[in-house]
Amino acid sequence: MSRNHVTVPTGAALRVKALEAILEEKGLVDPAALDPIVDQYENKVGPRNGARVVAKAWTDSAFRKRLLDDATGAIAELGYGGPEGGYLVAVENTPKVHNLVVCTLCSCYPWPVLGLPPVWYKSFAYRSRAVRDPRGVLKEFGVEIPVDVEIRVWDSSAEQRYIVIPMRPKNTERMSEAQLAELVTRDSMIGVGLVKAQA
Amino acid sequence: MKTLKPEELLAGLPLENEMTFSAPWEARAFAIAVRLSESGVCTWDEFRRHLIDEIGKADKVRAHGWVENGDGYYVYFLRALEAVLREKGLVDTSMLETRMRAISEADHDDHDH
Repeated sequence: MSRNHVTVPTGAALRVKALEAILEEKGLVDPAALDPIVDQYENKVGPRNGARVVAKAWTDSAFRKRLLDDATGAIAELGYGGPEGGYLVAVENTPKVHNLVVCTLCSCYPWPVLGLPPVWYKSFAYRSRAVRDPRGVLKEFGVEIPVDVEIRVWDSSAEQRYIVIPMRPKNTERMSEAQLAELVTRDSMIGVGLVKAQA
Repeated sequence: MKTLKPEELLAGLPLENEMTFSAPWEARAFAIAVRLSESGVCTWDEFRRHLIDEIGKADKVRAHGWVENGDGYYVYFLRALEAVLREKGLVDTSMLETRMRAISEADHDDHDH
């Protein structure tokens, strides 16, 4: 049996195991340090953080202004930061402008506020089409943007990550910040979703 | 690993509850990359340059309509991780393959008992 050809995913699992063993031997990676990292990104860091940021921006106009001026500084007020969180830019949807975020080169994404990117965000289809045909892509997500609304597409990079501040839906005046945060979806903060109007 | 056509990737979304990783090795590879950048073995930007490179190569193959060996984001991620470690002179391919052989032989012996 040839061992030269490594198949995926069993080959990949073996490859990672071997890589980890070598790095441990060299004293470069302590395997005990890896589980907390996985736990952090699987369970602790996620779009709920971003939802809190958005809800605060909806209810606190001074915070909203700070967020639009310096998103990295503003999210730090809520205790969010860390890897991939630097150079965060908040872009605000309005009745005239809809924002959509992509990373055409790889998968740059604001981890501290949105967690790790969903599978489709990293897909060739999304990366190649979001810039070229944003309305078409949005339609596939079930989002129809009126023709008189400008769509701005933000291509993320090592220098800048984006979070979309979606429009606050109608009939939410009486809701608390925590209740509002419940309405905010991950997709609405990437710009492929809207926050649903309340009955 | 599930392989989807581009049209399928965008169909039937959003998937609010999808999993972050589709296999344990993906999570492990991700954690190794984060750890190496935290401890300064390489910077995240150095790693990202390799990731962009690997994804770019795969995109070119897709753009030509050829079938690519090993689909999936974390396959590129793993290739980038290996590339940055190779560049730093820390882990080379033969070292890795020797270790893979040793691990799979050890596993095999276990199963024989």
